[in-house]
Amino acid sequence: MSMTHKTLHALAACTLAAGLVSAPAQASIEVNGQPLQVVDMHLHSGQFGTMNPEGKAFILGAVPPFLLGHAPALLSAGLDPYEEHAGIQAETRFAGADHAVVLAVYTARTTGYYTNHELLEVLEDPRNDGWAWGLASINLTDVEDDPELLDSRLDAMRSFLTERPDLFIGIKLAHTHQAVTLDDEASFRIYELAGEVGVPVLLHTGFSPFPNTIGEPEYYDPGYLTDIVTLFDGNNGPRVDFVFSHVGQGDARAVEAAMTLAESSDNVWLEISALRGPLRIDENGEETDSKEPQYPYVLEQILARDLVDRTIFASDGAQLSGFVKSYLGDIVDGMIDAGYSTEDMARVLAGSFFEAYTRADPGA
Amino acid sequence: MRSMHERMIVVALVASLGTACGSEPAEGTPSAGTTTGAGSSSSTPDSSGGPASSSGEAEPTTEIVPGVGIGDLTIGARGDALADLAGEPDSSLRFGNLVLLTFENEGLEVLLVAPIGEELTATAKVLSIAALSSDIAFSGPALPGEEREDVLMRSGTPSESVGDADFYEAGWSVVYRASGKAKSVTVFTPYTIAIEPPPMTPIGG
Repeated sequence: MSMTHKTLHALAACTLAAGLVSAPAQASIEVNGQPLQVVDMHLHSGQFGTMNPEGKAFILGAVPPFLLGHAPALLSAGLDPYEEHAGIQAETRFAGADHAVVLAVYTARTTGYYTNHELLEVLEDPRNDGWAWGLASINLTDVEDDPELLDSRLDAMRSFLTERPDLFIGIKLAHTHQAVTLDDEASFRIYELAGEVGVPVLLHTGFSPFPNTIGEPEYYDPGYLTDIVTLFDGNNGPRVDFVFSHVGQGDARAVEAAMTLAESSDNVWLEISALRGPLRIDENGEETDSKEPQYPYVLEQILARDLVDRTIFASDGAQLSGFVKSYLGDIVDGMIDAGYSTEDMARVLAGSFFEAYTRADPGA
Repeated sequence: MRSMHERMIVVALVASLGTACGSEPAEGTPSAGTTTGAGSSSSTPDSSGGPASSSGEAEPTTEIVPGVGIGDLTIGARGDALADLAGEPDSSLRFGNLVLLTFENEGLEVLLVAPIGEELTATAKVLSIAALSSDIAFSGPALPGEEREDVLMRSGTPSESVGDADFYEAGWSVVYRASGKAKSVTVFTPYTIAIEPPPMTPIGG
């Protein structure tokens, strides 16, 4: 019997009621009668005060007027990893996710920043009982004409990856937020570092709704990584695994490029967060007024192209309370509707992650 | 009472933020002498330099203290303490683990976090508190019903503004009506604005 979204919600609620919310890693979703492990590998922390003002205004513009005065408390609760009941840890466990990956970001020009040091503090916290790992990141502002600055920042990021390999399991980049093209020299240096250290690179692909993000394909379309993916396939030097976050969402050409690269290159992975929005650009590069969420099409294509083994679940939360749970429910329902087997779903929800991110211990 | 329309907006909010890619509130306790309970007397100006009361010095007031609380209700207070102070809410709005309660007699609105199935219990925690009513004798850096220009004159320029809301790093906000009068004054944990990231340093640096 398939487990629907509603059933998942009820089960997670029962789990909470049973007092399991504070227990260490737990598999608390069940599909087709089988408990399935879940890793949410795309979660954002941060602070209300370090958000970009325009990005903050964008978010507050979506807050209902009657909640606007509470917004600092409301947003802070969702950004704090350990806020009781509504923080990232509480929200992932509320959703039934066993593990989480929290991302450092240096996107001060769009959303704000969350430094490697802030992330380290969260990962070293005693409350991280094997629940979370982190992805390090790098500030790319002003490095274009300052190679020494780039070198020093690369060294700084490298130190987190080499000195705490148990906590920092990869690199996170967001080119459209960081105003650097996917194949820029600075980007290339980061891919080299990833190969040297032996960690995957998670790249934001596709559009972002935030102000000041760059809507040119060179910044979001993974097709611009074709040569680089080949260069780092392990046949000509160090291997780098590229994880395409959001599967190029928003632009059908970018979605297709992500799928095509995953089909042709075994060092490409598809991370399926933030796919509830509609396409904005169709396969011909024309604007579209689609209102349909993208995840049903993406999930169907992943199955049809035999890419389940290369697909990794994530939510892009925790955002507001209930978001991770809601997104997980939608994706599980979407996989059931698309005809995924239970084994396929187990692979997407956790198996692919542990194969791509070899530093993460599934038994943690 | 909150309308069904507003409840639907919350659902829409949760959905609308779903495509975005993107400190624990202090267990605040009021400083001695800075806070009075609802109905208790305060005849001294508040710590933010605001007027003692909206209706006269000798009148009992409920003090709005940025970053701390309103009256005897503090940020970080537990749900059972809230129940003891304010009793049953007149309305309750729930979304995920967040709960918004309104207490009409006290003129307050309280945002809490609480696990599903629990509301005013020992595990629920107050995140923020808003003063809503101009009929209640509040004191503080801004008062419901007060003109925006008056608030700015005595409490200074806000740290940041979005739409009809002014936010202050000290841990308070004011949402204004189109008329320019304050609709609500909310207190929450203080925050610090720092737009630019610090220089990147190695793990031990």
